[in-house]
Amino acid sequence: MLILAITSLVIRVIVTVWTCLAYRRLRDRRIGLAAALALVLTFRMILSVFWADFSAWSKSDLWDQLIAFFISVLLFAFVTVTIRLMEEQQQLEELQRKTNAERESLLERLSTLLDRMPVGCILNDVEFRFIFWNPAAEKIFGYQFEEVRGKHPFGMITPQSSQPIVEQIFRRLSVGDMTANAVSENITKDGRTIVCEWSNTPLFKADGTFQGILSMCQDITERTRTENERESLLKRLRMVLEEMPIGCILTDSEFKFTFLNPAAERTFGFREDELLGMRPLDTVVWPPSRPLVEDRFQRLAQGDLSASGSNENVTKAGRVIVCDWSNIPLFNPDGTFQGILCMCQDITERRRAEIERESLIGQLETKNAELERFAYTVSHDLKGPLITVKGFLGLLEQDLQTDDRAAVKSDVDRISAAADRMKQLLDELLELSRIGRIVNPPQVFPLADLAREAAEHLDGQLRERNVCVEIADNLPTVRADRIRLLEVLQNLLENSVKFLGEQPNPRIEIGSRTGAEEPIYFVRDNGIGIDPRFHDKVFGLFEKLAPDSPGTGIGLALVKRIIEVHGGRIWIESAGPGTGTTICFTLPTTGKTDYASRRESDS
Amino acid sequence: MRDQPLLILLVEDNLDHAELVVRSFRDHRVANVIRHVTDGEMALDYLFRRGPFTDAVNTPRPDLILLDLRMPKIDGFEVLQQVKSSSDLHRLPVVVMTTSDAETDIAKAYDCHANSYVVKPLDFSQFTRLIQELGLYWLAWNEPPE
Repeated sequence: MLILAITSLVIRVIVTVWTCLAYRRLRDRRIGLAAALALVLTFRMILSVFWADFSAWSKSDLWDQLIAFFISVLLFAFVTVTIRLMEEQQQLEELQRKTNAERESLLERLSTLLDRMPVGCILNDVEFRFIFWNPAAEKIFGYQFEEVRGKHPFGMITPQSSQPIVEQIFRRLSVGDMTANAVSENITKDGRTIVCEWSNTPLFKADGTFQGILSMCQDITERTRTENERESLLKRLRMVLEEMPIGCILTDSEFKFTFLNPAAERTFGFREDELLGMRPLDTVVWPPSRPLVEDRFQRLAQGDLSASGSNENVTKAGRVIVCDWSNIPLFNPDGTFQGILCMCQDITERRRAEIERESLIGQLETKNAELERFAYTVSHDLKGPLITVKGFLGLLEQDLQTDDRAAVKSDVDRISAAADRMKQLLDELLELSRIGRIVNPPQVFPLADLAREAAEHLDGQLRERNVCVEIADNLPTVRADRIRLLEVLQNLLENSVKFLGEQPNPRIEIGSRTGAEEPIYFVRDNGIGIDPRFHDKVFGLFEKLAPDSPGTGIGLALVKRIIEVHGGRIWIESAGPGTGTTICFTLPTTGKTDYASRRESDS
Repeated sequence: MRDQPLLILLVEDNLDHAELVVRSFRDHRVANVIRHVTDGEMALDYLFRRGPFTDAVNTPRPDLILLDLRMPKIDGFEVLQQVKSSSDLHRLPVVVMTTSDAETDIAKAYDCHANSYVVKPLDFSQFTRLIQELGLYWLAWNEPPE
């Protein structure tokens, strides 16, 4: 009985303390109640212990004791359970709170994310109506979320032009196509058309039914515009490079081709892919020009901006051309040599034209000088007879006054002769200038016949001087302007007659001999000969070897002109005085002559 | 003033012109003796006393040379050059008398040290006046070298 009583008391005290402590910790009302109960019951027991005698108390009814004990145990159990439950609940609540806090914090982050992200984030339901739209989307399209909630994009942000595409995308998304992304035009609230890039994801419920879509969209109008501009700029640049008529070439730092534009391809006859990686020095530079170009390359690598110029190049076909090169060295930002940019132009034609021009200018200058000399000579040689005429007219006047008949006659004769000479001069000049444009077509005839004809024309002179004319029988057939050639032979015969000198057996021979390349025709006389010093002078305009000899001195110049127009040559063979004279000339039979080509151009 | 006749060597290939010169000198009674040669070769032969002119007595040194420029064989310039580069003859007065008024000819003549250059006038009265004045100048006024 005592043990029971003490145990009950102890239990009650422990419980009381425990619940009080628990209450302090957990602060729960129920625990407080339990604490109060425990306290009351414990106090009651203590009071009853103090009120009654302890022994008396301990001797109380066993049944009471048992009940008191039972109550204590019950109390103990109750409190234990209660406290346990309390603690569990508290833990759960703690967990819940923590979970909630975490969820809260996550939601907040999500919210911030959605609010702050620069990309528009939009949710559409299964009928594609807007159910969410973040601030970025508001900014892009100008609509607040409330304005678009529950509305369909068509009629809001999707213009007519984009609707078919977007329709198709919605369809694809609804069947699970994860790649239904697009770039399309949209319109903003204030009516601006923008270009947006859309990344769309379909959303499905756990059972697989289509729930809606999540889209991220970005306004790429600016980017598109910039890209378009860049594209257009690139296109222009490309067009310039493709179309420019000047070759444009790039090389790397080892002077190997890295780029050729079409003009360069055309100039050298290579395709770009045939030359990439090859060295210009090995491919398009004319071997003898290699040192020059090599030197230029080296100078360019040193930064010499003046290493440009022209040089010979060679095409794929092996043709040698001349190109003008403008070279610029290229450097990396760090200053290292990167390669060279070359512009090249084929100036072969230009060079040829320049050379031809120089030649033509030279020819023109020569012709001009000839003309000047001609004009000078003419004016001088017309003055002579004119002075004679005027002079003797003056003398005539005097002689008429003194009535010197003989003198008058002589004066008149001289005047007349001078006038005749002037006329002859003018006629021959005209002839000479005309000789440049032969009008007669070439004929084929035996030279012997022509020689005989010429001799006949001079019959009078020949007979007078008792000249023997020999015409060789080996004279061939020739092709020439018959009339002109007749003049030539006549002139040569006349000349020979003039310079026969005094001798018993004057002889003139017309013949031919074989020369190195062609037959040489000659008119040889045994007359007084011509000093070698004067062999060239003889053919000069108005040069006469004997003063006042008949003729105006044009004769041989005319002859020379005629022969040269036929493409032949004429020269004199004479050792000097007393050895006779041989005038030789050629008439080429093959190939184009000035005469033949002129004839063709005339017809 | 001279009292002796002037010996003129006329080098002229045109016989008509030579006649005009001779007649003009005669008409103006300028005391003179004219020797006429018709080309440069003859002129040089005379002056250097060679060829057909080796007889010194018959080939007195002229007091004046009237020289045409354009002549066959050896022309006036050649004669001028030879005369003016000869130690014997270079002091001889040489008057170039020609139809040419070309700058190049005038320049060349003076380059070769011609003493004077006259252009034959077309007008006859001018021609005779030229001859007269020429004669007067060289006979009357000019001091000849020894």
